[in-house]
Amino acid sequence: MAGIPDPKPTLRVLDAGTVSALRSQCLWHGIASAMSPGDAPVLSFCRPAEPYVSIGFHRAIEEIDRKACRRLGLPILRRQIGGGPVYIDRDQLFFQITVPVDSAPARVDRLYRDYLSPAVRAFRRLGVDARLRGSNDIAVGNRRLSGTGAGRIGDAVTVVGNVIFRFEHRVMIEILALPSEAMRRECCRLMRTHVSTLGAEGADRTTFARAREELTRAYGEALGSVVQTESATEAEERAIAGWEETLSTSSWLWGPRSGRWFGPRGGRQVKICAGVWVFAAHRGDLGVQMSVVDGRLERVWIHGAELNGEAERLGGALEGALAEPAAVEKRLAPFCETGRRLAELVAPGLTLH
Amino acid sequence: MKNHKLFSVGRYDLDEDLYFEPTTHLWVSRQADGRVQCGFDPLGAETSGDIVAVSFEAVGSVVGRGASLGHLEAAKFVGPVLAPVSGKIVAHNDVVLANPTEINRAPLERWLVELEPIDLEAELERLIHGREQVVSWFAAEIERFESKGMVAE
Repeated sequence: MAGIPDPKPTLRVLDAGTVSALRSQCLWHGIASAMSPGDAPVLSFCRPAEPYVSIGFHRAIEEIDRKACRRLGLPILRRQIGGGPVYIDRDQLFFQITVPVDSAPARVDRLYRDYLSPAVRAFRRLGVDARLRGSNDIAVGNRRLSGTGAGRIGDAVTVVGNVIFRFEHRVMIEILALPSEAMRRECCRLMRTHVSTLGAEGADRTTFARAREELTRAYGEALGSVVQTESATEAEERAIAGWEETLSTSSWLWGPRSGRWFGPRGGRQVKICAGVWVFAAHRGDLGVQMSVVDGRLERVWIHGAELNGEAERLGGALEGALAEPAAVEKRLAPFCETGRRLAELVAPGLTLH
Repeated sequence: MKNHKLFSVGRYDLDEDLYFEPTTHLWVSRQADGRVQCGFDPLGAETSGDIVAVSFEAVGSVVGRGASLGHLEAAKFVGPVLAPVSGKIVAHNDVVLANPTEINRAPLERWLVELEPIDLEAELERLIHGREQVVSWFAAEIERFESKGMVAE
């Protein structure tokens, strides 16, 4: 009708509160499955009542130390979004923004920019100097503050993140299957340096309610929407229950690529956050472990039975090098055949997979 | 080796023999044995980002047009690959399973799955084919994607 403006669009907010580990994953899978073209976006929240491990859709279950998970009483749940294994507990508030696929950018980096920027604004209002780092890390400097991911499920796209109030770095490392204790120690060191929390960033008085409030406000503003707090519809509840059945099956847990190691061939790589990872590999008697931080090899350990005392010099030659094949080859050129073999060994770990 | 009839639209190469699904940006190629292969067109590959993993429904699965043939992952985003035509999956391309970045590098050369089609003639009519039609559609798509900042100009 002429003269009457269109009503402002609605942002539905569903706060599921504290829920089981299984429901904390299935909540947003179900919301997305139940969404139809033209539906209002949904901002959902939940916290898991018990700790667990979640693994990304394409990652091999072998990346997780399942014995350690059993010992620690941690169930493992596979999610239909990307990324690696993560440890989750009740000190994390999950948020998910789910929108019809037609209203989401088709380009992945735009999707993250559009749908994580409101979360960044909310973190800043909580007093933390957060920024988007890489395509999808929410970080303070080079410390990751929120793990994120995204996926298309049915006719909807969902972007998920968490607000980490406190984090058990040691448990996170314990649940990973790693080739050596040395790699575990290095992953733990880097994780303590590069994975942060609200508490560590000075916002230790923030409550879950305040974080929810700021996220809701920021997403409402970004979408130009009227916020409407609701419960899940019957259709959403049915879809969530359906996902709970799916995620409980062993075939789902095993995943589409289990047995196919994700990442570089001939080595094990663990991503700590955007721009930071640890890589270890060995071939024959020659082995390497290295940490890459912001484009440079920060720490390098070389071992080999026939290096005749050169291991330390080789590692020293590589430390500080740009994480690029040409830079590594140049540093290793004086070491002749050993240097050539080492450059080959290191090469797959110079990029993050 | 297949003799490609390549032509360019903007900075993208396309193949005259292919049929293109206009919304999902997948191509379909008819094989001599009646099967079809499908893969991403250059715009589909570019807007997907750097693909790090791909998985497909099992060989023997029957999928309808628009249903999921599998999933791909880029920058922690997982999305379905929607079948441009219906059929039974008879083969996966092991090259892209082992090296998913090949989809970004050479989208027209890297088929994803091979299908035994169910209703091919009717479904091909819904796809875009022939140089003139493809040029017109693809140029409009480039303009649309550029205007939304979805591809580099």
